[in-house]
Amino acid sequence: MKRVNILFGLIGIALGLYVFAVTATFPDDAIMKIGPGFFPRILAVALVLFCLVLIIQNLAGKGEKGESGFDIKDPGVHRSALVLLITVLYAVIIPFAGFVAASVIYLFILMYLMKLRKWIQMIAVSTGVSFAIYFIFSVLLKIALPQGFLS
Amino acid sequence: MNFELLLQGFANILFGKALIMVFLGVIGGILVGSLPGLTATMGIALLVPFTFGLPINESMGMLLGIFSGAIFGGSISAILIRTPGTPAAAATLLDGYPMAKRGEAGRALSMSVFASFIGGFTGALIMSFLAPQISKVALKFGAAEYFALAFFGLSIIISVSGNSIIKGIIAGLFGLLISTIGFDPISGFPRFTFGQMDLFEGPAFIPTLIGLFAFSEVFKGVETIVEKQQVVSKLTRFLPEWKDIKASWIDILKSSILGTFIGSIPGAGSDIAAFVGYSEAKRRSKTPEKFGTGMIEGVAAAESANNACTGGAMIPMLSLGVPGDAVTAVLLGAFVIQGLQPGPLLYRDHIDVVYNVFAAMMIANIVMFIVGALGVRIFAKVITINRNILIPAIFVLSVVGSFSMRNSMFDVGVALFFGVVGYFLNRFNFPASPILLALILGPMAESNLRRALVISDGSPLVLVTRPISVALLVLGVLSLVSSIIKQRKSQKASV
Repeated sequence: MKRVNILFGLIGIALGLYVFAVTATFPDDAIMKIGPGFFPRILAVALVLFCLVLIIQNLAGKGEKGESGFDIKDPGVHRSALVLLITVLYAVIIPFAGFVAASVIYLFILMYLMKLRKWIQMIAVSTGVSFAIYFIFSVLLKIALPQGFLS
Repeated sequence: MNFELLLQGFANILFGKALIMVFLGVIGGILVGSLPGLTATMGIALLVPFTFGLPINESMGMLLGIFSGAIFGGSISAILIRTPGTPAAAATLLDGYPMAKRGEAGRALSMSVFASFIGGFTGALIMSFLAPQISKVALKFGAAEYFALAFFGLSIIISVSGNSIIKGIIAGLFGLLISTIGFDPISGFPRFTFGQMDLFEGPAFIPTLIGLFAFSEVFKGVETIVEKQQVVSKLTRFLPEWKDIKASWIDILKSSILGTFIGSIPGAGSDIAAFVGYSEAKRRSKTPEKFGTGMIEGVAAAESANNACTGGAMIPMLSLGVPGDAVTAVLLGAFVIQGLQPGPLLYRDHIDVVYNVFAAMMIANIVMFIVGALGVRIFAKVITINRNILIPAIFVLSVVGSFSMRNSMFDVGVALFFGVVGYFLNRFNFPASPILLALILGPMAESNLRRALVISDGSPLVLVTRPISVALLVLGVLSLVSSIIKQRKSQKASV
């Protein structure tokens, strides 16, 4: 946990410094005196300060005890990274393939990754859920979902 | 309170499609609440998109139904499979699960329905009486008071969530920074938009929320593959026995009132209310040592307190525009999407809507009682649904939900981005609730702070020379400092 906390602290400080640098380019408000950069700047300073506290705490060994439980070699972590990638792909192909077609395939792949192997159940669930969501949103709620080549 | 308007509100909800929506909302709420792995916040975030296309009364009815249902629903899985469906049900588990193990799941669940109903209804009643009064006071609030209120709400949620106050503060600041993305509310200058048109109004609220509370959870969820869980005992009854009600009615009433007031503190949520109600019942009991072994009073106290909290949390949300907890923060966002900005002005400009909310809240609790009592067997089956099917479905719902607000794939990207951020924050013990509250309170804090400073000609003294403002600021700082001290002590004790 210690090293991770220090890393988070450094990211926070970098974010704070970045915000501070960007606010320098904001225009001053001649009439109101307090311009658009005022509030973000306060937040940036506070963020840097508290991240320093977090780092110092952890360097002094006073941070939380225990391990973070995050292991980059854990197959579970690999699975969530893979799911993230597939979800991005899913979002990209929805406008082309249409919501239903994309979702059927997506759901099937995700269930496969979740170690389901009952093929009939998987096909039934992926088509059923996709059509149900499409029906509720597009037909009942009149929120148009992309139809893709099915349109 | 105006009875005529309240009656009108009842009529509006009961004799219209709104009642159906309340029913659907309650059913959906109990479902998401009872499914382990779907917290009430996440459930509501996923269900809010269903209300986008509805007229205001119907969408409100549905939202309040979801809210009430979800908090009760958490108790079903807490009692049956020892997994609180929502954090609010963690206290219910203490005595509910031992009861189920003894074969008394029906007794525990029927008491949970009953206590939730009494608690929720009491909360709604107190809300209807108090919220208009508070909004009257709030109409006199100036910019300094509103800034102080936002600060107070944020410090409370930081003090109660997570193990590390420093991390909570950092999370809160991160949320506040996100809230500054987009047009500056006063000068109109676009900030941190990277030239992206889609970011001119800031990252959209619902997609951000779905990212932080739904995507982040399912990304964590796919890491472990869990076997199907079994329900320990059969359900034989729907309504609590008279002797159980007699044994615990004092605890129910006490918890209902306690829960409402805890809920009404901005930042303090139903999980805390449930534990306070539970320990109060334990303190009052003649046999406190038996708590934790399956005392019906424990279930009754915890459940009435956490449902009473719903009404309580609505008080600051409606009358001040400051959400009482993470779930009401989501509700507030949903109201804004419907074009209503909660706060004292809502009472001035849309008093009819306010009374519809009061009526809908009470009706939602009655509906929750009916659905909960009759449907408990079905819900008990649902919670054992295979998680490996459920998680993929939540992914699809999260994508649809973030897309549907503005028909925008950009928003799906926003949700995924915050999903990854939320996943890592969660992984490393940064609480997500302060981020959510900061997103709601950030714009309020910023514009009021700047307004106050403009009025005072730049002197920050304006914040500490007005009594209400200084009191709120001091209370906020105190709650942070006291929880840091408490944390220090418990760390020393554990070394």
